[in-house]
Amino acid sequence: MIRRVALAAFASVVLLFYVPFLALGYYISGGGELKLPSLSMVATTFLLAAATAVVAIAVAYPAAYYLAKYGSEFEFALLTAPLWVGTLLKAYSLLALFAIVEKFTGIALWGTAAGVLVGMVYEYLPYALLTLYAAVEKLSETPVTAARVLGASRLQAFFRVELPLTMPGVAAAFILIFLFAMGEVVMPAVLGAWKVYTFGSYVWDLYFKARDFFSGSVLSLVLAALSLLATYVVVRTIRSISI
Amino acid sequence: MRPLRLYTWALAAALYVPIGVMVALSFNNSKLPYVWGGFTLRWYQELLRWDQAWQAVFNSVVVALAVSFTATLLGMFMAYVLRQDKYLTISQVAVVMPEVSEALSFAAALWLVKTYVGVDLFGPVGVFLAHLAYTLPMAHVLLAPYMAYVSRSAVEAARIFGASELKTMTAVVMPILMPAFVATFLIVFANSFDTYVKTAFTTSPEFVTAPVLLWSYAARGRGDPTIYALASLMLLPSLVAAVIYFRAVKRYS
Repeated sequence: MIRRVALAAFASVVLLFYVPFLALGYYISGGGELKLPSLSMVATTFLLAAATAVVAIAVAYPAAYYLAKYGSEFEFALLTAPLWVGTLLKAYSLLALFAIVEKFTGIALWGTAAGVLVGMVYEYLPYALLTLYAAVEKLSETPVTAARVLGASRLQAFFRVELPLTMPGVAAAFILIFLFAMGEVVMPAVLGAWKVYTFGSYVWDLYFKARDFFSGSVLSLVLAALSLLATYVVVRTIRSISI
Repeated sequence: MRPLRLYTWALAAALYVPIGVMVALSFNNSKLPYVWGGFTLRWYQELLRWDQAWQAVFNSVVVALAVSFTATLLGMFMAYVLRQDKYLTISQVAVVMPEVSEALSFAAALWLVKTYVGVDLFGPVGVFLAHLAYTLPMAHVLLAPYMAYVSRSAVEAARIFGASELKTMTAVVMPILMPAFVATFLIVFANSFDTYVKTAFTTSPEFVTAPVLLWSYAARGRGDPTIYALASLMLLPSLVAAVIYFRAVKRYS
């Protein structure tokens, strides 16, 4: 009886989540003219997504290292709790903050790529933290002690021993954030004021403005396939992804 | 270690600045975000009088309740019964799927249903199903680690003493998993309550939820104190979920 309920639940995951992708296939088989996004827009999206991943990882790494080695539960909770705040709320709160920043420093962030970058780093930082935390936590003390005994300074031990050992985690975090950022819609729309045009916004407009199901379906499937591939890589590098 | 701690605390502070500023602005007696006009509750009073906002929040709450209850309950069954890795992998893949792809595929499926079956699901039903589609795998992934705490001997003891499978589930397994269940329920609730992209693709113009209303201001870059008040209220489920989640996790360690 409970097995049947569980299998029914599993069937609904497949039906609700995976079967709709067949609908994309249906619209693709219907044919049409493929409206590819412009090269500059693809370049913007790539650069933004890569920058988001790099900045988020760089900012999160020291904190993740601290949390995994010395952090208390409270500190861990404090840093990862923003994960549960919705993207739109984060975007809207940054919008208000940007207005204040512009008034007092004269730096305009709203409607610029830098502003979108700030928003996306803000959004994906918890993902970087969790992935890097998992990687640092797995480190054993033995190689560090060995390096220290052999005369390495603490910094040397970190850069030559610990950092290379956490590289799989860094790679996993990069891929994860890069992909999420590639399909991002909310931050470029709210903080980029539709001036910073990305792949996600393009798919969005294909559906809501152009009603072009064919191109939208093709591009969505490409993004989904990329994500599948990346997930495979991530799962292989870090066995348990904890979200 | 000391500089690392300082860095971590500075980062934590930075993470809360934008949210804090928005909440502060919802109490600011001035329409300009960079002018502090003193403390006021008038934006909340205005929000109280704004029927459309109430309707939107109500819609969001109803959808989120239905979604989180269904997803968490079914997710628990999945996590408890389907222990093999392959099932979990299917759910994990769903969790990391980019949301535009997923939302567009759902919208495409709803269009096909509308065209060939003649049933228009865009609106509350479409939003419910679209939210369930991504929260069910999410609940599964979140609950799976806690199954290790349900000891085989407790389950077998119950079965030997004649409890049915269902009775074992409700009397033995569920109580052990209760903290995890509550935590997952709240996380799914908060997530469904403030998600926008999936709702946008599957709703109808008549069915406005709180994020849809917020979007109509945010996408045009319009700062408005009443909307700050609305957004601040929308933060509540996330904060409650975060606090309870970490307390629940603590009970297992």
